[in-house]
Formats: sequence, C-alpha cells, structure tokens
Amino acid sequence: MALIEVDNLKTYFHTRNGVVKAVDDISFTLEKGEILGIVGESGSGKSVTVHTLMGLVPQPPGRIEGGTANFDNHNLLTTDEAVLRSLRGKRISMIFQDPMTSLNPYLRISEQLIEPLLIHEQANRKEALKRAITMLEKVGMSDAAKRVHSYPHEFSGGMRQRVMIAMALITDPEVLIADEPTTALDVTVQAQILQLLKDLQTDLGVSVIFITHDLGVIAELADRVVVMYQGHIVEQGDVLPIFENPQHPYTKGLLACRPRLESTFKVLPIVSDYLDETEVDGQIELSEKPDAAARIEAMQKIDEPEIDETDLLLEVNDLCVHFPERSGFFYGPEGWVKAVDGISFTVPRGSTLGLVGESGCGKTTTGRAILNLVVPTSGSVKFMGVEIAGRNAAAMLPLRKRMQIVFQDPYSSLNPRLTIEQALTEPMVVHGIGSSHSDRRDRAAALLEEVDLEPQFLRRYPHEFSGGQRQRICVARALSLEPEFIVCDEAVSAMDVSVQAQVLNLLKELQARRNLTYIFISHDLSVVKFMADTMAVMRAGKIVEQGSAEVIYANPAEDYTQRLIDAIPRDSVGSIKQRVT
Amino acid sequence: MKRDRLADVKFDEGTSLWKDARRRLFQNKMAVFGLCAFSLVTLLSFVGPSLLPYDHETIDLPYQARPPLSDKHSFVCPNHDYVHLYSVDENCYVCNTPLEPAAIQPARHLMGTDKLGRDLCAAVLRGGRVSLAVGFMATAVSLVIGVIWGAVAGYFGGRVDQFLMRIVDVLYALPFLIFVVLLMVMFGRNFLLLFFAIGFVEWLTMSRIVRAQVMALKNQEFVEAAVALGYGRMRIIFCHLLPNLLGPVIIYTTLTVPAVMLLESVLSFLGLGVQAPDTSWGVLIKQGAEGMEDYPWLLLFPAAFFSLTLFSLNFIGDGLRDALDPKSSKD
Repeated sequence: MALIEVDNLKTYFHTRNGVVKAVDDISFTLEKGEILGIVGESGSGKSVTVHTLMGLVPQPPGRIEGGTANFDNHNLLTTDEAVLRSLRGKRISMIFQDPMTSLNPYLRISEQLIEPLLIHEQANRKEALKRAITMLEKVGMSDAAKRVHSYPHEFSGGMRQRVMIAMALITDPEVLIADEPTTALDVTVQAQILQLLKDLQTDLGVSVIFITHDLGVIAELADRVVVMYQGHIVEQGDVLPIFENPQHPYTKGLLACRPRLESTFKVLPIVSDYLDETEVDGQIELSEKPDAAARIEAMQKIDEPEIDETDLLLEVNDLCVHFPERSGFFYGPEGWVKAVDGISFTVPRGSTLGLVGESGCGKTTTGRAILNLVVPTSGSVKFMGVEIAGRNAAAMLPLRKRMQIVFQDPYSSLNPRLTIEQALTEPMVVHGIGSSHSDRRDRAAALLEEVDLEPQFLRRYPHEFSGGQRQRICVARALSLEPEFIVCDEAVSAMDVSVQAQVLNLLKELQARRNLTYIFISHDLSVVKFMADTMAVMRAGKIVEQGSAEVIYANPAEDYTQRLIDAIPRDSVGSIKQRVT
Repeated sequence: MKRDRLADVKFDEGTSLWKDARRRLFQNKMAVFGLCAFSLVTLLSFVGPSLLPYDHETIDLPYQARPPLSDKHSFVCPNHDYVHLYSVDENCYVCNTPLEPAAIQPARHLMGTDKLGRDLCAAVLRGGRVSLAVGFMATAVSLVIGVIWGAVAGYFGGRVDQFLMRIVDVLYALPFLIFVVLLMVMFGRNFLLLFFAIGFVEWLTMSRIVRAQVMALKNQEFVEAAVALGYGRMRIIFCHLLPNLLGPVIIYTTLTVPAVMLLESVLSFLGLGVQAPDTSWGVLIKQGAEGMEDYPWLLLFPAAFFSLTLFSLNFIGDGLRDALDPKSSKD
C-alpha cells in the first residue's frame, strides 16, 4: 500500500498579475521504503508540491484548488493545523536546500537537535541528548559527543547538511522530504551526502521524496522518478526505463543538457532543442521537435578555433594571497590564512583555463587577485606583458575595461535599484564609451540582443528576471566594456542544469565571436571540462595538477583529482543498472 | 536590421529610480494625503499668522482663558475699571459693589486663549514655524552627517571604521545638555545654533544604522562587480550603496523629526531654546499639559497640529520607501 497518495493536486497562486497554476492536477504515490525523485527546473512546481503536502504554502496568495493527499488516513490538505503539527517533524520530516540558513545561528546544534524530541515525544533532555549524539554518529560526524554542543557556524556546509539530516531523522519519521538538499553544495560534498542518504534509507527504512533539478542526482539515488514541467507531471516511472528510453521530449532535453565527462559535444543540447511548445486554444501543448535528432547530431561536429599557444594574454607567476587572521586597531595580525599560496599558470589568448577544486581551495581568491579585487601578497600577474599585481585603483582603471568578471550569484550581482539600462550604460559612462545617452542606450540594447534577451528589457529592474536571465545580463554588463578577458567565477553553479547549459553555450558562442579569453572557475569538473582547453586543479591554495583538460580527465595523476571526477553523479544507463539490480 | 528592431522598442523617457519613484508616490493615496496635509500645515504656519487679527503676543484682557470660539464675557465693577476674571455672582472685592457684565463681544479666538488672554491660534501657527524649522534643519543636518559618516565607515572598514566609530562613541558619551550649554556659552544664544546643536547629536544613531547596512551590503556581488568595472569609491558609495539604504534611512528620518521637535522644547524649558514670547509646539504642549484639566484646549490644539504633522510625515515616509523600492512596482 502506498504511504502517501497524491491525487489530482492543484495549488494555484493568486497574484496581482493573475492566477499562477504552480501545481496543476498532478497525481503520484510514494511507496513504503522507496526513494522517489521529483525532477524539474525551477518554476516547475516541484517545491510547491511538497510544500503543499507539508502545509507550508503561504495562503494567501496560495490556494489549494483541489485534490487529495492521503497519508495514513489523514488528508494532508484538509486536516486541521493541530493534527498537521503532530505529523510534521514527527512522521514526515523535511530538509531544505540551504544548510547555511536553515539552522538557527544563535542556538547550539544540540538544542536544535533535541527540540523535535522535546516537542513530539515529551522526552527528557538527557535522553534526548543521548539520542541526538547517536543520530549525529549515524550521519557520519566523528566525535559527536563533543561537537554536539557547537554552534552551526563551526561546521562546514556539508557538515551542516548532515546536522539537518540528523535533525530530520531523529524522530524516526516514516517520510523524509528532501528539497534540493545538495544544490548548494560542492559536487564532492554532494556525493558524500547522497551516499549518506542512501545508507540511511536502507538502515532506517524511511521513504524519501527527493527533489532536484539534476537528473544526474536522480540517477545516483532514486528508485522512481517524477518529471515535472510547468506544474504538470510529464513523465513518471521507474528510474531505469526513464533513463534508458525517455518518452517525453522534456525528459530527453533534461537528460542531454548535462555536460558529461565522456561526451564530445562542443555545444550542449538544451531543452528547447527537443521540446516544442505550441499554444492551442489557450492551452500550451508540448511536442517533440521533428528535427531534434539531426540537431543533436550537428552539435557534435562543430569545430573550435585554433589557439596560438605562444600568444599569452595572462601570465601568473608565484601568486600568493594571504589574509590576516585577526587584527585590531593597536595590534597586528595573529596569523595568516594562505588562501592562495604560490601558484603559476599562463593563459593563451582565445583559450579557456578551468580552475577546479573544492570550496575553500582558493580558486575564487585566485580569480579576484588576477583582477586586483583583492591585493596579492606577492607574486606577479602580467596582463599582455604588463605587470598589474598591486596596482592602485587609478592605475587599474584603464585595464578594467579589458578584463571583467562574472560572479556566481546572479541575484546579488546586480544592483536592485538600477534598471537594466542603467546597469549596462553606467560602465560606458565611467569609461567614456559612446558619444551620447542615446548612443549608449543603443549599445546596451545591442548587448542584450547579443546575450539572447529582448531590448525591451532595458527599462526593467533585476527582480523581474529569472536567475538565468540575470546571469545573461551580468554577462552583457561585463561585455559592455568590450573586454578581452573574463573571469567566470562559478558563473553557472547556482543554476539549474537546463539553464546552465544555455549559459555555457552562450559563453562559448561569445568566446568564438569576440575572441575572448576566459578563466572558468567551478567546483564541478564536468562543467570545467566542457568549457576549458587547459585545466588547473587547486587544493589548499596550491595547484596540484595542470594541463590539457582531456588529458587530466583521462589520466588524473593525483588522488584528489580522481576524487573530483568520482564525485560527479553518474547517469549512464549502465551505472543505474548496476545500482538497481 | 538591428536598428529596425530597436526602433520598435518604446522607451519611457527617463526610467530612472527617481522618476519611477515620483510616479509611484503619487499613486499612493496615503502618501498624497500626507503630502497635502503637511503642505497645508506648513503653509498655515508661515502665512497664517499675518492673516489673523491678533498676534501671539497681544493680550486680549476680557478673553483670558477662554475656550475656542467662546463669546462669554468678563465682569466689570462699575466703580473700578477692573476686569474680574473668574467671579460671576460675587461682588467686587475692592469696593463690594455688585459686578456688572462687560459689553458682550463676539467670538473671535478660533482656538481660545491662554491664561493671559493671548490668542492660541496665533501661538500655534507661530510655534509651527519654529518647530518645523528646527525639525527639518536639525534632521537635515543629522541626515547629511550621519549618512556620509556611516557610509564611509561601513564601506572602508578597518582602521577608518574604527577611527570614525570611536569618535561617535565619544560623542555618544558626552552629556547632551552640557554640550549645548557649552555651545551657548561659547557662541552666545542663537537660533541657528539650536539647529546645529540638535542635529549634531541626532546624527550619531543615523551613522550607526547606515554603517551596519553598508557593511551588510558591501559584500554583495554587485559592489564587487562595480569595483571590477572600474567605478570610483565615491560612485559606489553614493550611486550604488545609498539607494539601497533608503528604506531604513527614511524610516529613521521620520522618527527623528518628532524627536528633534520634542528635544527643542526641553532646551526651551531650560532657557536654551526659543524664548517667550516666541514659542514652539513643544513649548505650547508642555504648557498645555500643565493645565490640561482646566483648559484642555491649550493642550488639544498644539498637540493636534503636532500629531497631524507627524502622521503626514509618516505617511510620506512610508510612501517614499515603497516608491523607491522597484520591487513594489505595481505594473
């Protein structure tokens, strides 16, 4: 018998601009002891679905328009709040996406861990604490008895997510809902968390609903899959058949858009290569593009321009960035954090260098030091043969327009109070590009077109755009100065795989058109391999391995590199077969 | 071809934050009400006194301590040219002849009179000049110093921050009244000094608020992007950070205005602010509160004007904050 049975669920949001059908008539079941993956891009309604089950949809503006969700003779949609509270956290638990914000920073984790026990089981504190420690050990925390009294900030992101999982499982629930629990994490940490969830699921027999935008994660973990698109379920079934023989064009697109280590695509296929949306009588109908197969075929045969290895745009020599550990007004630093510790590399014009490593390895600081956004402690950075390390702001100004950066978080990298037009024209004003106001506006409009956005968007504000669109705007802003060199700092890490593919394609296209040189920073080796010609693997401020991306992937010399490769979710049919049988 | 597509695009002339904000502000009914009410109060305060038959200094003897629009007259002894204020049935206490009513005069004091027979309406309007001037000048002083000080400290951080904030700490620790007395001793009593003295104290909290906000904002990537795009520091602080601070700054400013007006009455009470016969709302409210059981109108009218001003300021403040936030856009 199914543990949770969802029938014809409809959750709509009534906004000023009309009704948004976030979840529109979906039905699925969660069987006992299985891992059900719900996959879809942001806005597909996958989060709203589970939030509805948990009674976490804000009403208004949300409204549950119909359907049932049965869990042990309770209809989760209509039971009163008191009953729901006794279920939530006790029999149905949830873990959230961002481990950095979902733990209360002011409470010791011991307090947060035992709280569900105190509320739901009226346990005494001593007993509860003992169970908390056991649970922490189960989620793989060493020395749990001592660390249970720490504060959340004393843990890394991966550790915090383990604490979250411990907190969710401490009441021994029947259902665990995991809402993108690994999206905010590095691939290596993601691999650990996925392994942990798999182990715990077998150990405790809990049923899991796992939400993600990444089919690769599904392939590693789930027994059954529900694919959602625009509030509808477009396909559901056991994991193997879906990967072996996807029926719906959206699923096909989602499967194809993930950069794979073994693939030879020069351009990534995206969802719209497969999926055709046509409007019939106000209803959107999805169908497969007839020429999809031919398009994908062509994508493997695009030639990349030759790179002249001797024409070096950037030479970095023995670069060090050390941060003082603590310093005050009257006394000096107590010690130094060696974020970047003596690294050297060169980047030929028109090529892409991939910097890859776990978070905290210094790759981001490296990117910023090259642009002089943090001042290097020592070493040299030569841009077209000119030394730029340690230049002051005035001396950097003429170089700023030749080297630009695109950041990870498209939400915080645009000033929310400026229109897109202002954001794009302001750099031109500062650097004296363009003759007049209207000339600069025309340039800004052309830039938007270059990143596949409508010129009409100029008068809008950043909050009106999706993450992928904002990142395009950030790219357009970087391009407004017509630079030769761009640092992409985790530029696609915060994105859904389907959006990620679009932005990666855009970056490649721009590179070919404008002969740009990139440093592409990421924690995900598969993305770096797709983008980069040469690759440098960083660990603890040092480069442990560098060379051609193909060679490093085929023949990693270091264990650390091998770990990064292993961390990438495997979604080949073979590996799923091996897992499920 | 590109040009053709652009030609179709309709641009609103000037889609800057400020122009959008003005449009949104005038769509907000409460804010428009606030603006109207506030303009009316200001206009009355500065033009009103010259339209009234009495000024705030003239004593209208038969009308001492009269409620608003009262035509009740005083009593006069036929033998003495002496006005008896409170007696009705009694005889003259000098010659013991029965009192006669004085000639009845029509109502002429819109808000009544104070104990000395001075027109309250004139006093309230006259006091409005002082209160509004002090409120706004001092708030402006505190706004300018506080925002710049806090933004610079927050943005540069490190030693600059330490230095600037220690100065703030020292000034916080200085007893305000002693500071004002010292100023008065050094520069003599002066109306302008009042603005300066109050503003000089009020900016401290503003600078702390702005500093905290800037510290939170400066780690946002758009600030780093601005550095990477080669923007100067001043441009980043004033064009990129400050517009994002408007919410808390406006809220705090609307709280500062009443605080400043009340502070002025404290100073006046101590003889350091405005001096009789000149007056202010703060002074009038203080005097009215003393006799509120017997002469409630003496408290009611100044307090009503004071509150109306504060209400409308709050509405304007809320309206401004919403108008300046592009996310609240209704289209």
